Amino acid sequence: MIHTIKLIAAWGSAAVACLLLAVPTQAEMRPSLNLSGQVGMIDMPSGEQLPDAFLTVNHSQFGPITRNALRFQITPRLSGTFRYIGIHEWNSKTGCCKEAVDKYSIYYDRNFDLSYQLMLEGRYLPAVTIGLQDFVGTGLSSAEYIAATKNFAGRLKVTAGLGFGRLGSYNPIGQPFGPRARINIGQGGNFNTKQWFHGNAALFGGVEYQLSDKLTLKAEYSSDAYTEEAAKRGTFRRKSPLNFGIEYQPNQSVRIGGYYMYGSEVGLNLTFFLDADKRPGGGIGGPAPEPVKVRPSRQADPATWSTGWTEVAEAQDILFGTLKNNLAGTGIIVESLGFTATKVQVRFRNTKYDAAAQAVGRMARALSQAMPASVEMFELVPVDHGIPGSKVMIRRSDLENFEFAPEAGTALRVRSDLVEAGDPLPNTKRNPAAYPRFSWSVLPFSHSLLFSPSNPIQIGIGLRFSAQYEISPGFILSGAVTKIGWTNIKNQKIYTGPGPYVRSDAVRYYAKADPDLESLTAAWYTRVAPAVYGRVTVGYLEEMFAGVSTEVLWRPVNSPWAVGAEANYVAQRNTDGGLGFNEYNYRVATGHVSGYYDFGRGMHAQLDVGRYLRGDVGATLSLTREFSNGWRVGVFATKTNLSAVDFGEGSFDKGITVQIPVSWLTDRPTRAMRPFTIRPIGRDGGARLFVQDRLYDVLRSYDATRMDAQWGRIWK
Amino acid sequence: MGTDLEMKMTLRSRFACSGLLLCCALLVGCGNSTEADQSKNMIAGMKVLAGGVAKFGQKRTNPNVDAATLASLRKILVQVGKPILSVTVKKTSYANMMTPYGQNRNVQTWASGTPETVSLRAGILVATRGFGPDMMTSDAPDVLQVRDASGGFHRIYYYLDGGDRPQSLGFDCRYEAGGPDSVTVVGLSYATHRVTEDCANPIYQFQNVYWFDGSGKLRQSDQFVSPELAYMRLQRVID
Repeated sequence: MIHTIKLIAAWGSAAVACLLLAVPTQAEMRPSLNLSGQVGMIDMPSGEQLPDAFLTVNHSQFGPITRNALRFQITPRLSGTFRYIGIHEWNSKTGCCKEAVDKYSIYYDRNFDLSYQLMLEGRYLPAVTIGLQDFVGTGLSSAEYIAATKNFAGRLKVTAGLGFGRLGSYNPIGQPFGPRARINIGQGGNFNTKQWFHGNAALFGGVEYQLSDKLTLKAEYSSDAYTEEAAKRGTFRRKSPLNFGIEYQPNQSVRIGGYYMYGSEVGLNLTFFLDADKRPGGGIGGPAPEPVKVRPSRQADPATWSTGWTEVAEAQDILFGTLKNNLAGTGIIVESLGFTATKVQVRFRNTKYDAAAQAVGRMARALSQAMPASVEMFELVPVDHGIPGSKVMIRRSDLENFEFAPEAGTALRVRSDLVEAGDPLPNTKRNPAAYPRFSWSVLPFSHSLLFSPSNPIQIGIGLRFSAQYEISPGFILSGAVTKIGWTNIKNQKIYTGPGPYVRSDAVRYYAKADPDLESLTAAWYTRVAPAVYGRVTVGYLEEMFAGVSTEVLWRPVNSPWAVGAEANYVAQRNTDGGLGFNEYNYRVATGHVSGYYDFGRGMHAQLDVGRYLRGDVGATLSLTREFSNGWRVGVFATKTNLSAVDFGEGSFDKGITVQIPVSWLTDRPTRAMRPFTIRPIGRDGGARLFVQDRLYDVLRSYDATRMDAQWGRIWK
Repeated sequence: MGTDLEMKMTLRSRFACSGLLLCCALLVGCGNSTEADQSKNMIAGMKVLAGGVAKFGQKRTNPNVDAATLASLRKILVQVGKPILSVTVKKTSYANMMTPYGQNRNVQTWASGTPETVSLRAGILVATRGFGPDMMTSDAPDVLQVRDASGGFHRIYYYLDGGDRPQSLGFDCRYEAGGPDSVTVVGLSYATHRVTEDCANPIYQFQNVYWFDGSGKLRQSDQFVSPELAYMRLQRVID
């Protein structure tokens, strides 16, 4: 996963460097990250935020303290940071194994931060940000702050702030909001609301000075006493509150800094920036489309406008042949076709374009080449997993008129309709060449077990052999086998409390199942009624469970809402990756009612309420920001009736998901995605069954909102 | 000594490159599904990357081609029996010969065997495809106005940004007659008169240059495409 991020950063930097050449440089100081991965100076935060949609990955180290952070600018004013810290020499003073926290010589912890910009920088007023640091953690890094930053003459930046918690620990000025309550850490993962902005407060501040376009000097006064790390445990000596540094940023995507910290230590900070909202190469590449074929006018050539062609018995078969030629190289396969003298409806599958609109555009142009002149209305129905996703109705004359018109996309969209797929035209004929269809792939895969205190990065890599056989529309047989090439994951028991071990034993499967029959299923997808869809999947659904999964979804094409229900009955598989079930002998009925809501502007929420794999009952809330280029960045949290103690470390399941469209990396259209999830150690509470291609995910690309977000691609 | 060192460097970088490509091949996998499609894309991307790396180490070759080669090239082009347009984009080192492919009213789309197309209205570029950061459409001046170098025109270019959102860039453009100039297009020399078009908005500025031959035909031009691609040189090789 970290590799993925690095790869992106490398691609990003190359591409962004190119863009820079075209854009004149402006006299401004870019905001930069501190060692904690927040926007700030060296160790202290500042009042600024990064540009909207920026995703940063940074690695920093000073003395014994290592931090790795992933930060996302959720909205222009709101940002979130996930940080993984490691403190070496943890027991240098206290000795080993006195308490639970001293079990390891390196102390690892995960932090979540949120920051919100209260005030944007004005002519006279500074930018002001309020922040919560490590607000659901074990509390060691917990802090709150308010910071103000003002730029002067594009070269000098001055920050002053007031910190609480950790950031109020050095030279405090008092307790303006009363004492800080002691918290009960328990299993961690609770919101320590009673502590926020309480206890000692201290001032911090600093200056940043831009020496040249690429070099910045920084100096700060830190209000973090490092009481635990320095005073109590002696992991390093904090001799001074002053930190100094120099940072080098050769382009928009990478920044590196070196520091002299606390009068005793050397520090280093490496940051990669990437803009999720913009494909680094700009517009998507890929071969040019066939041009629109313009019909001669009816007056000039009345014969071409005759409707006699509708009487031809093999009309469809001829059209299937012509369209196949016109669609060569587009990855579009015509599934069926029906027509009248003035209308054609074509149902087609898109195997290539990440934007459904681009596939629709290609299909429409192919129809302009193939259809007799009398056909004016094109009804284009993209089909996915055998289900018609929606129907785009385009007038052929608009296609002819707007091909080279200003704002061609908008012009075409306002005169076209996007509606529920409806029924096929009466004389619709299936393309005999469309089914059956076999596809296969061999791709790398990885298993990982992250954030385990004894060994935080455990990873296994290998190859996944997948095959899929679509017998008829919506009836799909598929399977995957994995073979591990290299792994450092050991067969271990992560959780030894009372079972069933529905997810905590995942690591046992990772270690033992090799080769692994990861999945082997038969699935059936169908449109039950207008806007109502159904799915049944039977077989070895995922690495750990096999059984039956059924789903129904109500999803109007033009509505922000969708509601679905899923019911599954599954048995836990043996850890050897084979066909058996006798190892755990565990069977469970699980299922959810799910609501989906699109708030617009890419903000998306999903709420699943139901019964999870361990039999616990609860709900999962996921909030995702989805970009028109296909990027998705989200958070999720699950709370069930399983007690925090039974759940174990972290108290409840939560995590961050990032999905990167491969087209973003390569600038070439492809539907492939690179999803990854950062979540704490897999626990048994709030664990959901993994089923491939749930209905909402399959159909989402054809919703009006998604289609409109990428509508410009119709002319690509 | 120097040569020996160079040789070692070359060998080492070659070894590194092939190692890189092998690693990439292992990373990306193969197949015919959508997921496998991504792999091919990745390979394509890596090849471009590797090409760039290779070029970096190369010495510049002499760009001059002798007259005999050009003459035989022109002979071959005439035999094609179709109008031919030479299209080059300096910034991406793109060069191609295109023939007419589509016609929508007064806009002609040119293509070749490769995946790019350019669309011209009487020689004025109005759209490109297959170049990545394409000009989707544009509000462009009439060629007669350009030829007469009369007055000004407000150009608007329409693009898709890296988030697939439509973007437009507007420019105020002014024309200026630049006097006689001689241009050579694949071995043939033309007496032309030159017209410049200076376009500016608060952020960007660029200059298009047009060369009209004795018959008033736009023989050669350097036209702005997009901020990422900068200029495209269009030469009418065969009428």
